[in-house]
Amino acid sequence: MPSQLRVRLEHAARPFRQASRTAKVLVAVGLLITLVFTLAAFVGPEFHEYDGIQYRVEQEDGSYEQLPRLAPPSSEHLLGTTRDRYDVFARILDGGRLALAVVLFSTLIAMLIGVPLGLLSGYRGGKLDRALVTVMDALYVFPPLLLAIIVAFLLQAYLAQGVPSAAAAVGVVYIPQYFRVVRNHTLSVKQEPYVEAARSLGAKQHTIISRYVAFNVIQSVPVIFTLNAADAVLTLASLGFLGLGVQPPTPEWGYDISQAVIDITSGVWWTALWPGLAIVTLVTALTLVGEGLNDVINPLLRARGMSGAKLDDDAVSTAGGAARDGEGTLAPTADGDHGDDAPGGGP
Amino acid sequence: MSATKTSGSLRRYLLTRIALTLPMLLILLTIVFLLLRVAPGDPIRATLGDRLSSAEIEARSEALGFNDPLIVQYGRYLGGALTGDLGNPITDRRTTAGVIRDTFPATLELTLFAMLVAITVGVLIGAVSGRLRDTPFDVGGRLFGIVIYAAPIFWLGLLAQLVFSLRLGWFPTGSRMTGFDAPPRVTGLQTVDAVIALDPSALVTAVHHLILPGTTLGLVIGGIFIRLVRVNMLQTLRSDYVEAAHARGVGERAVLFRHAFKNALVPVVTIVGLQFALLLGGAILTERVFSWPGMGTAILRFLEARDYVGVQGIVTFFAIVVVVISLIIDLVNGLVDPRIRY
Repeated sequence: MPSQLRVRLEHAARPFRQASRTAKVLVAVGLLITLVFTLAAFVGPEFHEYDGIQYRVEQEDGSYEQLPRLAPPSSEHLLGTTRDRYDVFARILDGGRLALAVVLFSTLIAMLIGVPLGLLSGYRGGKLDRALVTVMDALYVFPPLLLAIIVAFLLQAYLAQGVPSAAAAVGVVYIPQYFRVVRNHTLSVKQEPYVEAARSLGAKQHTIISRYVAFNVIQSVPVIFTLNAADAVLTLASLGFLGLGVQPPTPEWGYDISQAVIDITSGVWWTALWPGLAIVTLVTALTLVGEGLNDVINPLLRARGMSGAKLDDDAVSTAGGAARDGEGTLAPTADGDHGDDAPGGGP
Repeated sequence: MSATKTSGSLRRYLLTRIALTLPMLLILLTIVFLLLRVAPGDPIRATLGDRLSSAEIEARSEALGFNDPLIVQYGRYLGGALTGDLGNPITDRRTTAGVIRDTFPATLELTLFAMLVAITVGVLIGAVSGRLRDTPFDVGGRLFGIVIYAAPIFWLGLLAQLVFSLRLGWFPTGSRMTGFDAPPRVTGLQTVDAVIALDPSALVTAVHHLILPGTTLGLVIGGIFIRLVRVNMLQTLRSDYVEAAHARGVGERAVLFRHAFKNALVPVVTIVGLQFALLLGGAILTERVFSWPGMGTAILRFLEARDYVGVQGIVTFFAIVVVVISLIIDLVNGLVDPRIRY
């Protein structure tokens, strides 16, 4: 049904066309940088000649050419080399690939657990809802980094330190966020006439949830996704810095910075500076996309009378931060009268 | 905001909120117990499995009660947690409570200083940005807020060390005063202890050590405050009561400070408490970079030694702190904002 699809696409695109210019610029800049990073991560490693583990170049006679140790940036090694004779630029490219993979998998994990639980909790209500909300609230007030550290630490006993274990450790942190937003949104959608109509027509509960509720609720997910993605890059780097990320010497920005700590005392700056700049740039870009999207989607929700009252139409609104930090104290009123986050509020 | 009208609902809010604290704490402690005690199996084996013989492990597990039924251990754990007994780490002679007594003040001092920096930076830049909307200052302030929040704390800390201690030599690279340099311990907060001991030079040294790690941690959190205060400032400047004040002929400065600024700060109170969780997480990284002898350093040491009992004890303490802080913040919010009710 192509025509139906087109209607749906146009419907989905409308908020973008109506968004303010600042919001469009923000999204565009963020997307551009993210795209460059993605490209660099996937095509980039083809451009350097080092193998992805030891960063050595095999010679014709089968021996390895050794890179100089701690060479400053030069035309030969654009961003210098490390104590372990790695090329910094090559490691940043490969580290980017790892970061994007972990971000993708971790948010996927968080979504796969948080979204269905949120739907169920919001739709069913009652004791199940109360129990889930309490557990999620408890997880939510816990320092996110500490939670990731604990999960990473526990997984060490069962899994090798790789992308799956890192993604699980990072993903756990965001489950409560997806849960909360989806649950609150479900609560308000549940009251809509079309849902009641479906219910009175005798539609099965799972049909109602998957066909009518989920479709509406799902649109709040992209915003959390981009904001989480930004945060996930930081969490992964923090785990790596503490030695709880992926198995060394896998190129990972946080781990690379931890290896640079000792260089700082001898005045070597390039081993620490560049991987950090890569993190800052990617996180900033993802934040811009998230905030831009937030701005685009929120007016739509507001027009439908579902958003909280406190939102500002200014490009960078509090709600951007709220998805990540603004909700905890509002826990007691999670039913929606104070939802700072976009889909939280009641009509 | 009539006090008499809302006092009944306020009392109900406060009581409900306090009553809700216990289940929340119970759930957190249960999660901690399940994760760190049940999941890894025998903690002695997990920690010392490669260093001790099976018989020795068995003997130590028996002596420490790890062979008791889990439900008994759970009860003992909860009872201990509520009475301040957080167990005995396998790789440390001190009790966990002792470790916390030695390290928590350092973390508290660091986070409080960081919070001070965050609020100062955030409120100043945020308020001015809001007032000077869309000027270069505003754009710069907002960009600073976003970029600083995107920076990994440990990386900022390293750069700060590189520039301010190694190149310029202004500050020590890390750690606190120890031994005879430190003022006699009363609170464990060295700045406070220095004041108590009436020792100005110790106070200067304590602050000197605090500046780099505290500012690093504070700036990152400050990024959030900048955005928050700015947006609130914009909103209050557009509100009816500010317009009314203008209409009454109140001077620009009075409107700004008496009406707009004060109201723009209310949501900051809310967010301060939340940021404490982020601060505690950030403190772990900051302590690692600056060799700050706090709780973050302690838990990292236990993690490296795979000391499940030590990790469990410190995490339990974190959980209690977090629940208490969120309770306090909600209570303050309830008092400040009459719209927050059950």
